[in-house]
Amino acid sequence: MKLRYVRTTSYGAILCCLAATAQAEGPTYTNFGTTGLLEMPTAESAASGELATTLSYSDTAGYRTTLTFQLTERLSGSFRYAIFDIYGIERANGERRTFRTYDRSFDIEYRLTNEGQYMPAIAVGLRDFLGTGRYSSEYVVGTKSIGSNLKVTGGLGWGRMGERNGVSNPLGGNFENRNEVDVFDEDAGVNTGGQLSVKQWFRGDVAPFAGVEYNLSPDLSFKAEYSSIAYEKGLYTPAVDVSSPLNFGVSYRPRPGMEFGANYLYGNEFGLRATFTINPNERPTYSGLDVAPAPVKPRTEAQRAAQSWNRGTQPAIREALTGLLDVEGIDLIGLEMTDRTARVRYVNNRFRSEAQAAGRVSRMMTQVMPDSIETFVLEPSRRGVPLSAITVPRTQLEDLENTVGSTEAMFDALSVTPAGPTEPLDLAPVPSPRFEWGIGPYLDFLLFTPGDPVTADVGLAFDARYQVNRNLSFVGRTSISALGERDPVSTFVDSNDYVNVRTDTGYYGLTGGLRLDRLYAAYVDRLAPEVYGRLTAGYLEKMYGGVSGEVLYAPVDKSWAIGAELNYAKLRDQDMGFDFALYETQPNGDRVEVGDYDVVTGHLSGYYDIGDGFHAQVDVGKYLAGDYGATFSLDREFENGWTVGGFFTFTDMPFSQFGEGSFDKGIRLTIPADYFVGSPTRRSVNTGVRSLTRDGGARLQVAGRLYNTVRDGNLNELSDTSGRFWR
Amino acid sequence: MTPALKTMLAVTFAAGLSACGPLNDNDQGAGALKLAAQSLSIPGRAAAPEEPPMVVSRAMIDQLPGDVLVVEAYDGTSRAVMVPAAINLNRVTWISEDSVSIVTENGIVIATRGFPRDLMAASVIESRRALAAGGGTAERTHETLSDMDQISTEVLQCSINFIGTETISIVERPLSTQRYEENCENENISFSNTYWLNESGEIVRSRQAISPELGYLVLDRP
Repeated sequence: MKLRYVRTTSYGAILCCLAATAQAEGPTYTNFGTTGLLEMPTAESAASGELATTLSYSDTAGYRTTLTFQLTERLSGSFRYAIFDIYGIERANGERRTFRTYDRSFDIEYRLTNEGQYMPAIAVGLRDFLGTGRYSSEYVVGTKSIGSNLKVTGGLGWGRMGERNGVSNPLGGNFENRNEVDVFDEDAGVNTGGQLSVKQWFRGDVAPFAGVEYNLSPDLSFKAEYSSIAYEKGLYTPAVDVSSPLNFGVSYRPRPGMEFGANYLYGNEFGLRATFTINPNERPTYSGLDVAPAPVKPRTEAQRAAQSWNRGTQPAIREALTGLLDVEGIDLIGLEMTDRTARVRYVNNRFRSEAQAAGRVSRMMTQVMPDSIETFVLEPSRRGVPLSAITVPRTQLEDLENTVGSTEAMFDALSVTPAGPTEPLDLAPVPSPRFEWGIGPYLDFLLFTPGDPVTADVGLAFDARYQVNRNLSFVGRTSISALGERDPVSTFVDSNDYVNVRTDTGYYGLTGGLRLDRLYAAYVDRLAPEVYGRLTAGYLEKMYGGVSGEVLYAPVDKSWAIGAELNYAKLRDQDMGFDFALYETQPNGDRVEVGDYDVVTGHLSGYYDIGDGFHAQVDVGKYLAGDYGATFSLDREFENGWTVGGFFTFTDMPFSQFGEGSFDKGIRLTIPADYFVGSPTRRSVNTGVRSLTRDGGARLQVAGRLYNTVRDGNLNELSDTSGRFWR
Repeated sequence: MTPALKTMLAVTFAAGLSACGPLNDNDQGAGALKLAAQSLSIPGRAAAPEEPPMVVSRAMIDQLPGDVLVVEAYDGTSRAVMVPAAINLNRVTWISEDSVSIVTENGIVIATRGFPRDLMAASVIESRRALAAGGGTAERTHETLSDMDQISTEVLQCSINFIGTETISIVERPLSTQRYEENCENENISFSNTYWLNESGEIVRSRQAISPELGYLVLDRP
């Protein structure tokens, strides 16, 4: 007897109905990982929300790995990591030596107009506007479809895209000269690329480019372009061999989300490309594979009129409700019942959406609550603190169930207020097991060290958590690498005046012995309604031990929150044992202990849910190297749990002292597990990429910062997944 | 990828699937691999053979004490027996052994739970009136749960027409019925439901559209 959708057996049946959407759609990608032709852009935008990872290779252009995100319908951003050869300084004989470089770059494109009946779509873009400028270009491009299978593109480029047959800038004056800055600061001996190159934008020669794409079928297309990138020889410019401005390629999309390209480039070499796309807006598991909830148990008019109930039955009700909520993966931790109201405090261990958990708790309450109880007060709780109180009128639950408009009507009928006091609640004992552990493999990546794009470490890790009570826990993790004792990966030559608060990370945990990754106590409590506190002390992270305290004010019905954090951090010994020590690298490469390093850091943080799926955060304060500044973050948050965001930090550490990259910046991703697996789970994968890990703008890594802990109970957050209340 | 790296990944991958203890879900690298493993089909692990749909016999129906609904999904490849779990006014929630539920209002589906694209709610009263009147037009509203956890609403215009009388067999029992068709459409979707009504005007068999991804359900009232 099977009706539930089971992936392995029923896919065929599902796919039949989706045939219409199972075809590749949207624009194809370039070797630069952006939408377009081969190396030149088009004015096409991917579907809003699309994330594309592109890997491309050709002999002289090297490797390019690009992540592109279509942030809005019109705006896209890209982050690229590329390995290729660049030209060095010109010698007396006019020759230039070439050497390998590992380069990060950022692109942005904005589509100004949609394609009309006669007018092309027009977009403006910046390529490599934040990096060292190896590919630095700006462009304006138009793309027009002719019939349903042909797209024609023409545009004007500046910078690298203004090289071939470039003419003087028609804007004249200041725009005639590009004034490309030499990003290599000879005095400081560091490369300070990574700043906004605003003064170069749309300056210097301008050159035309053009191209066509012909779709033979929805999954097969041919591209040809006239490229305005000449790859001229110059100091630190890409050493790409070019003998023709024409590039050709074929793009094949065997199934949605996959695109493979084969190209003939520069008149002399073959290249390959693979692009993988995923769109958070399109969940492969549709609305999820959750089992049906219990139906609401309705009362008759007479039953609704009851004014009181037999108080002697409370222990039995409590036991029954505990059992029912357990079915839903929800722990009942507190119950208070009056004549007409029942207040429950619970921990939802299963559902990503607290709105869905609230719906399930409400349904279960209708099964066992005495007839006279008219109001349900639900208090979702996490890490020992109640997040909010969701007041649900029982009559509305009964009347609205399975009716059109019930979601909106329910959210009109319920209210979200600060959680009530803990005192009158009949509390459940702290759950057993109080001790949890886990042993398993780990896989760590160290990204973008010079000379090595990825350094992997693999081994075995042992995790343990001892829950003293709901608020206080001890957390530990030790690990041992399967690679044994290792040599440090080559890190940056860091001649700045600051302690290597992060750049020494490559020296940590290389002894091959047992490492103490973390060992700390964490205490979280509610200090006042809507005010939360956290105290964490011990070995907080790989590089630092210390004490971290945080206070957060997060009103349940507002779209903002403010917090403050104060930390005392001390640099750990690089052997990752119990000691603290500061090392310095000698000219011969030896590491010598030179004392200790400790620092007090702290931040004031503001969080703001802008709406339309955007969330901003600003942290102002003092960082690990003693530098002062602020971190700005912007995330695109999808209601189904995906977030895609970026951040940057400006501090008073001069760019020349910071080193390559000039300031700290990066991107981050959260992928909810239920998006893929379908069945409800709170698990998610968080990952991030920093352009470069340097010492400026570095923050202490503390687990369990408060905002994300308490945010789920907020009205905005509950409303974001309102559709799941009745699921 | 070097052979060494490949081996390493393979080892990690295999180990990742066999990590033990409740806490090891948190590891980022291993967690991501496990997630990927769950979402991709793993080569070498053949899909489970398609289970033939269960056969419902009269004896099985007679064993159950109350009302019974026999439901067919995915083009007849799945079949289940459902029993009423709750009655809220004229809305009956039917539930199957594997925790899928269907809510009907006078025989017309107004909600499902536990399918990959659930119908969250539907207003079907005009369709029911038209059926009772022997035909006519009706407006329907369907709410489904979107990929973004929002309610997505479709308002449809329907026409209900009498097709003819038909003798059908429901779980080994022949039955004389009147067959109706309901054609609904709007700019996004269109579907065609079929109803077989018995002499007292009750829907004893129907084929009803739920959502584009799920398709139709066939409901029998033995």
